[in-house]
Amino acid sequence: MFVEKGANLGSSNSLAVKAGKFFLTVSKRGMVGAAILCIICVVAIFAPFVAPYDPYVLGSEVLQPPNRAHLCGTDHLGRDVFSMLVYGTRVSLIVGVMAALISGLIGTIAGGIAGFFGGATDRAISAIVDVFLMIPTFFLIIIIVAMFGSSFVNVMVIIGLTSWPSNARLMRAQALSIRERGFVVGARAIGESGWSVLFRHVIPNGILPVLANTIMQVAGAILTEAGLSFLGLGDPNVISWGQLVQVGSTYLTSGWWVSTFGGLAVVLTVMGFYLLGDGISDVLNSLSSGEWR
Amino acid sequence: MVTILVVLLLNFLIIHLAPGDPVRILSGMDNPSEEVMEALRVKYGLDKPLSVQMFNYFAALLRGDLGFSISYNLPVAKLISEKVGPTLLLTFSSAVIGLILGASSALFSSRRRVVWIDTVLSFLSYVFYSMPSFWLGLILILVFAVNLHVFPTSGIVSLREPQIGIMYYLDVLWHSFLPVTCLALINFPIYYRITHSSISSVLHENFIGLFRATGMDERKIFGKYISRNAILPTITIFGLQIGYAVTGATLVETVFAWPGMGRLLINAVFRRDYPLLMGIYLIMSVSVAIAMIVVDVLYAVLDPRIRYT
Amino acid sequence: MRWRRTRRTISVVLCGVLVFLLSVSCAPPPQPGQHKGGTLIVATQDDPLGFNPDWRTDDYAYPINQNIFNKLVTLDANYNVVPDLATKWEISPDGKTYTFYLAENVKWHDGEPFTSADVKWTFDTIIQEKGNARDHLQSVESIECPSATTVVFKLKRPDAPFLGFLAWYGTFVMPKHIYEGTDWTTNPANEKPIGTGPFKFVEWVRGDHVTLERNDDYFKGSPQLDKVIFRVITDANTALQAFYAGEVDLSEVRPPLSEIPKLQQTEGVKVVLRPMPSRYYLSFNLRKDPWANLNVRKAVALAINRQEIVDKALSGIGEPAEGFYTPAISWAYNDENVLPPRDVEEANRLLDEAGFKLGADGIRFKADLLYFSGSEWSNIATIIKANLKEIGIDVNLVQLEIGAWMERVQDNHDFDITILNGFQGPDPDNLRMRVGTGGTLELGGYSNKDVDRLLDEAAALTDVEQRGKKYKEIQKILSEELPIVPLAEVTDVWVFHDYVHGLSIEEGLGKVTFNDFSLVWLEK
Repeated sequence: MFVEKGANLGSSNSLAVKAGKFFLTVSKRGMVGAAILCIICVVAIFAPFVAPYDPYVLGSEVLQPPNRAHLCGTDHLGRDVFSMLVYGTRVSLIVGVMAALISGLIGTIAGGIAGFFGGATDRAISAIVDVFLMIPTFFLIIIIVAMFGSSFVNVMVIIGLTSWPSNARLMRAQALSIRERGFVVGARAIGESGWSVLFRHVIPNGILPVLANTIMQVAGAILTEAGLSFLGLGDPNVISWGQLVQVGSTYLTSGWWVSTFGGLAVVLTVMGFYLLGDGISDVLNSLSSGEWR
Repeated sequence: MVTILVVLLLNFLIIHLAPGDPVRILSGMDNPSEEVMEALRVKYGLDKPLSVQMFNYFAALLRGDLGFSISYNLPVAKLISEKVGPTLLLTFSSAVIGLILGASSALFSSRRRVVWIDTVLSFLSYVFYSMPSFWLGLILILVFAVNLHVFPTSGIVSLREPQIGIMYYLDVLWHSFLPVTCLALINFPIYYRITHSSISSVLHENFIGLFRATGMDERKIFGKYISRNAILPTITIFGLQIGYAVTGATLVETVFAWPGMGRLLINAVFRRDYPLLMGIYLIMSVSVAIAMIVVDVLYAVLDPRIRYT
Repeated sequence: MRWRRTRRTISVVLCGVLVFLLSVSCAPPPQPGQHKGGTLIVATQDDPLGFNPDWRTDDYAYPINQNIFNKLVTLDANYNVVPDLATKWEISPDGKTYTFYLAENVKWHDGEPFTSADVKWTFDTIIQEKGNARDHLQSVESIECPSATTVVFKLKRPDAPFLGFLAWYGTFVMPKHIYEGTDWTTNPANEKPIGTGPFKFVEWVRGDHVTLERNDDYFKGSPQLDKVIFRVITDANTALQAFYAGEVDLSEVRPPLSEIPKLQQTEGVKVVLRPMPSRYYLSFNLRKDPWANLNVRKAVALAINRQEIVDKALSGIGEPAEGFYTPAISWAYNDENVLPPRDVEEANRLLDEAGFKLGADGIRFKADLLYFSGSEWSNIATIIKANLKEIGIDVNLVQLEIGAWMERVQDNHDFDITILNGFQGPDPDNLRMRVGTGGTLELGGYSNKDVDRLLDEAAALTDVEQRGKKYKEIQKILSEELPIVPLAEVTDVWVFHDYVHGLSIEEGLGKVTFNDFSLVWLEK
């Protein structure tokens, strides 16, 4: 069981609860991040109930400042900004999470293979990782999206495919150290296959830093999507916050609320992910600093 | 280095395999006849098979020729040299300012150990870290240029009364204030975080405890050992950021109508200007590669614990 | 220890200053300013591609070229043909010979005299090298220069629209002595142009600005201004802010239309709205199902809310389109065969009858709507999407930048519906491009023999009323066949500070063309 210096873990015995409480006490910022993200997730899931209007409907009240009927005002086509913000959570979360998932999956597997098996495979994968880290990825994304189409799915996949190297690097470092550990060596000794060891022991034990990094990547993906939308490379069929900022920027002086609230939503959500990611890092740090051994 | 070559190859392939025909755009809106398009293609060497084009490109590269921009009708190298300056001005200044702001505030708050300062700085760093740069730019323009009239809204020089001599430099400085501020604010959290975390990790090192036990003055510990050790990762990050400096701050350049590399790249993408795209990408990748090498060397020099075998 | 740290800080700062100075010196060099006469600063949306005015379409060079070069005849701001290098002209009774009498004592910016040989060379080259205007010069048989100040165009057949197209686009007179014997696409004059116009080229700093200075020897009289600077500001919002801040005198970056009311109320700002012979319209891809079905097209025409487009996408600037040509060219406008008023019920009924049942999700079928980047376009597209949702068509918005659009729509015909706009003048023969068989902007594969025949007949006539009848006949056919759905009339928006006088839309009417600033003076 984990025991943090002086922490009162209460009387509940379940591991999950203990882990949760541990997490909360170790990292205040992780807690804040988790709280923010819970709210965002709830809003995303229950969007049709939270949003007062259909965000796609073009109402007759155009460019209204925030008022009682429209909490965040309306845009130039008569759409309710608050409803757009609410539905935008879905888009941002999906893009961010899916992109990070793709990145995390590829990165973990690639990095794990490289670190665990070593040798030529390692050199090859590391070379690819180095190349990617040298390429200014934002521009690569711009080029690819501009040329191959700016659909929602495209954007998601492309961001994922360009950000896996950092995860690979982390996983590789973890794999390198974990493979020397007792239980791994033991498993190999009794004849467990390399791949099995990799997926059952090495990766799960080394996953935490990669997890932290992946969560940061969700934030990065959301910012990237916002940037793409601003440059006109977003998907026009979905309502995203980046799109809100871009649309609102064309009439900033007469309708400041559209861009402002769009941007604030991004800031809040991204902040939530960064806080959560840091929270996990905090947990890692306190675990590794020997306070529970 | 082999990696640079691979990068170049990748550049070439991606850009050429993408859909979109630059010749189409060059010829204008009306339906150009096939002969016209073919003539243009021959002129720019686009009619040869991909492998031949690649070979020609690399051969030219070795001679220092970065190619000829299809849409601007100028050598790529010339275009880039015109635009690099303004971009570097933005990114260097903001990187330096961001570094100073971030590192010093992290050092300050670690030194003073006052909780609320730490919380406020931390909060600010999260806020700016999470902020889209173009959004911040828009807000800055709205507040300081449009409403308060303190700074100009865009551009790099005043065109109405072009200045000369020292006034010219001041004019540029005045125009660069808002975009640099925008980027610096966006960058500062990076340096704050890295400095903060490296200070934290150094604080836990055993030798600090040892020094304290021997009664060394806290200020001396901080000044001599903590900050110098903590600054190393920060410098590393700074070096990398400088390497990325050439990649420019595209979004900020767009918002402030700043004539730099970022805008050049966007135009090149939309006009399918292959040579220009490859030239820009090459420069960017090379500068990042150089920065990485420099940083590695710097780290080895500064940190006596690391030696390369 | 501390000293070492301080030293490091100092060196970092010094480095920073050094880098700053170095990078600043890479920025463009300054020009000393003169203040007699003043400088007009014009905001423009993008860089020109170059300054060869006749080779290819280059929308952003066009306003600049209008100050560097002249045409034989040109269009004033009311779209009337007015003299330029040709002070008068005669058309033979059979309509096949055009004689132009050129102004005397005209000089090129480099001092060389301008003669009829320059005119002949220019048009021969446009035809031969397939310059932008070649399609409209197809009736030209030969060009002769009986004297240094006379040019005669001999046509193969009477071509009523000829003069109008000569005044329109891609027909600037270029210097023979500079271009002859060279490749006009790579001649260095494309970056340092020599013309006959009111302003001489000074410099072009790519992506930033183009500077022109007064031509004291301009044949129509020296302009008032010292300089004209075209400043490139791509973002419409930034351009607007620069305008408000007084950094720009005249903005040719079309402001977001939602800003117009605010601009109109601002002290010292003049906003002039002028109807343009141009309109927004939707084009069907008749090659693709189900668009070949007339009832489907009718349903779409009934479902689109044109008033909403004007109110929201165009901020109330302009009018909903009713007829099938631009009302601005009134002698050819058919105001009887117009679009039916909006009727969603009828549209739904037509689709049901055509066999497209409503699915459980309220969708009958999907359609890709392709459009250019730009806030007006995305607004119009969004409204169309919402409108068509009401009749069960699920529209997928596809935004493309112009190159990709050209490829998909014009070359590959890979679309369902698309929206575009375009100048419909200076002569209704322009319709040939858009609805004639094989027209360059005929996007949907529409081909009607009667329309083609009427176009040819009208081009051969000279009497305005007779020609008008033919064009109205064409519009009647279009209103029945609906290859396109007109959406709204385009309004030209001029935004400038009230100290700017002498623009083509005010004092310059009847004298200069749109962006010709030779008569401009600043009251400051």
